[in-house]
Amino acid sequence: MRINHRDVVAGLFLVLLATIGLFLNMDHNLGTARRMGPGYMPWMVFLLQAGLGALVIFVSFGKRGERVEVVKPEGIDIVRIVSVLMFATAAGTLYLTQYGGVRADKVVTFTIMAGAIAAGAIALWIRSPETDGTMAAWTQGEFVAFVAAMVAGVLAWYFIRGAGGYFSQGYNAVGIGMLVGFLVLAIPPGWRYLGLICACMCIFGLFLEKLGFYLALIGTILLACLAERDHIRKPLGVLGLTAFLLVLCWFVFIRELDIRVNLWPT
Amino acid sequence: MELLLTNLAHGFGVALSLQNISFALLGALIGTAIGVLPGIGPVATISLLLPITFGLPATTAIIMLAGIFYGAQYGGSTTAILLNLPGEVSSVVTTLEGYKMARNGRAGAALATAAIGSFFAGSVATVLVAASGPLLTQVALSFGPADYFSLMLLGLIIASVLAQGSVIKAIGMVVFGVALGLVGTDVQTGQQRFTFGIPELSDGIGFVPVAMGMFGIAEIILNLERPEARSVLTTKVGSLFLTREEFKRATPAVLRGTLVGSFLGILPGGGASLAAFGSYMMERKISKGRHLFGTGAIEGVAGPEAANNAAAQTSFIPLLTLGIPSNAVMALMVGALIIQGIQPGPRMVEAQPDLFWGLIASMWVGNLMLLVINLPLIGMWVALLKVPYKYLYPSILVFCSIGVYSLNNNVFDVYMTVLFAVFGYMCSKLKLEAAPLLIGFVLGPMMEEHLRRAMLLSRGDWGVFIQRPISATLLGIGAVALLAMALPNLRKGKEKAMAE
Repeated sequence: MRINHRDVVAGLFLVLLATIGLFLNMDHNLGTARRMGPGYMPWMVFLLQAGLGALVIFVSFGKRGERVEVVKPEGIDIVRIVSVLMFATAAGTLYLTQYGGVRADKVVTFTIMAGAIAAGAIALWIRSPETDGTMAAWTQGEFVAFVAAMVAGVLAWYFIRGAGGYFSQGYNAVGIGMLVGFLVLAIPPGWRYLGLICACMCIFGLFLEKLGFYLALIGTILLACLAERDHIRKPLGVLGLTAFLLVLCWFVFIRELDIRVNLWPT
Repeated sequence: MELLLTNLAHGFGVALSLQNISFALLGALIGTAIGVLPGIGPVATISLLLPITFGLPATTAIIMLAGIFYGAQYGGSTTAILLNLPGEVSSVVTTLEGYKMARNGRAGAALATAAIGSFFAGSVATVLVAASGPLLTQVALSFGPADYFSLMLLGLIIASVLAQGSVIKAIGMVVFGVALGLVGTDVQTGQQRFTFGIPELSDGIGFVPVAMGMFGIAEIILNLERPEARSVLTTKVGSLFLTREEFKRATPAVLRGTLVGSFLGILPGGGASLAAFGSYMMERKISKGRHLFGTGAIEGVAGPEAANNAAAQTSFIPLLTLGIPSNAVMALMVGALIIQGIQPGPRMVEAQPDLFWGLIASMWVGNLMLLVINLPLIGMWVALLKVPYKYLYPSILVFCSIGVYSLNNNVFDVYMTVLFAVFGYMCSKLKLEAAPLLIGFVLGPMMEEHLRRAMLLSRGDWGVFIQRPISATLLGIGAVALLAMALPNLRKGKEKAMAE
């Protein structure tokens, strides 16, 4: 069968987001058309979105629609789907054990599981429609890294949030979880840029309030430079760039805009 | 007429104050500098620089942002002509003839034509904005909530019809954008919606993290993944002066482009790219040099460049008079206004005359500055073009991080930006357009408010949307636009136009 594979995934993506939204919206009072409650507009919007997503899928199967890139679905093997499902269940269970006794919020639990399944399923297919070079179907390494990143990120967040001090403050535990996840994700070449660039911003978030403006910048720039192979060969260029950016950011943000931020470690 | 002159004089008084004029200049300079950097379009540029304007007074901030916008737009034309790299959709057509001219050694003439054409078109469009703004505002004041809702719906429909790629996917993204806009405290009941108990979300998802994540950071990742998209400057600029023959051919093209652009810019969902396409098609059909198209015809630069700049000005009309953004850039402007505590809409003329007239006057001032900073300083911009991407992306990343943090001095916004970067990356892989989402996101809360009010007034009768003549007309236009896209021929025509 000839289908526009990318559109199928895009449609699924829209439907899944809408489904999550509709579930979350169960908490809100719909009200009547005359006196709309907080849930009325979200309810309409998500229903419309789910419908549109279904339409996207429908059109991608027919003769109509974009027929530019028709890719044979590949790589949908049972093992991968099952392992993603298992991961989702694990994440859901983890969540339940954590809040299970205190507030067993089934809707949220369900949403998180659905979200994990959705993310897994979408991420599984998101690359296969690409036909240009590095963007071919998922490699084994990319798949393993994706699952490992999710597991490592969740575990890191789970264990570090109770560590006390810096780790229990604000969003630091979330940041560390994200950082670990993105760094693991960056191991296979296909995820390299996505993982590294996102990790850079996490580093910035983690460093800024504790270690200060300058160290946060240095950390972010150095990690960012890892993404480009040229930089690894020419460390002098990285040094120059770091110095230049430090001066520029000091001038723009500290001297001119005077933003309130720690400059040095506290 | 007299009133118009008085108002414009007032506007120039505001725009020419030392502070405003220097920030307009600064905005145009920074906008051009970042706009010529390959791989960064106006939307990314503005979202990147948005946080810098927060400390300024509202009028100055908007004037500076407008300057950044014109600068970025013009910077995009420069890369289009010199590198065959359109910074954004509206300069795609400029690459067609502009790069050919550059290859013929007439790069300087192409750049000069673009600058002068843009300046002329900008001046005409500014007068148009000044004249039609207050009139439309009067009309807008007679709008009821139902009419407003229909108008926004029309805007969203046209924005998705004109988006690149599949219309259904674009509408899907608009709708999801509206949904994202609903996150936060419900205005009428105070209930928390979709906040997961996170206090930072009770004011809604931040506008800057969404824009910066989806347009700034996601772009970096995508650019790094396709190294072949970055190219090197090989052409020489040459003389900036036009020959008499070129001047003769460019003039009518500029006039036609201004006309087409001014009109198409007003349409909701229209804006610069549609105008540029329209003008290019027209020049290829009717200009005297039409047989030269494909070999570097100056009409193909003059027309579209004038048109996209005229449209860039007139697309402020729906924003200033109705409070409705017609494209992603204007959505950013709404975001900036709201952050400044100003609700854009028909009451702005009365409540914020300084802002309204100052902005209009500064449009002209900004265009003049572009002319002044672009032609003499062209060597500097060409030098900037040579900055390799490997030095650019760490800089963009750092600026985004600091900017987003300084919004609320909260790292939460940094992590939100990361999440939206991942989301934007996925959307781009799935060919789901980010621009419609941004417009939906901005309009979402306003639409809900107007819908609720309209239904309360009509006692729960949905018929109100077709009973009121204004609303019915607007919905009718929207339906026609949607139906038109369902017709295979028209859709193919659009795909063909986009593909070119």
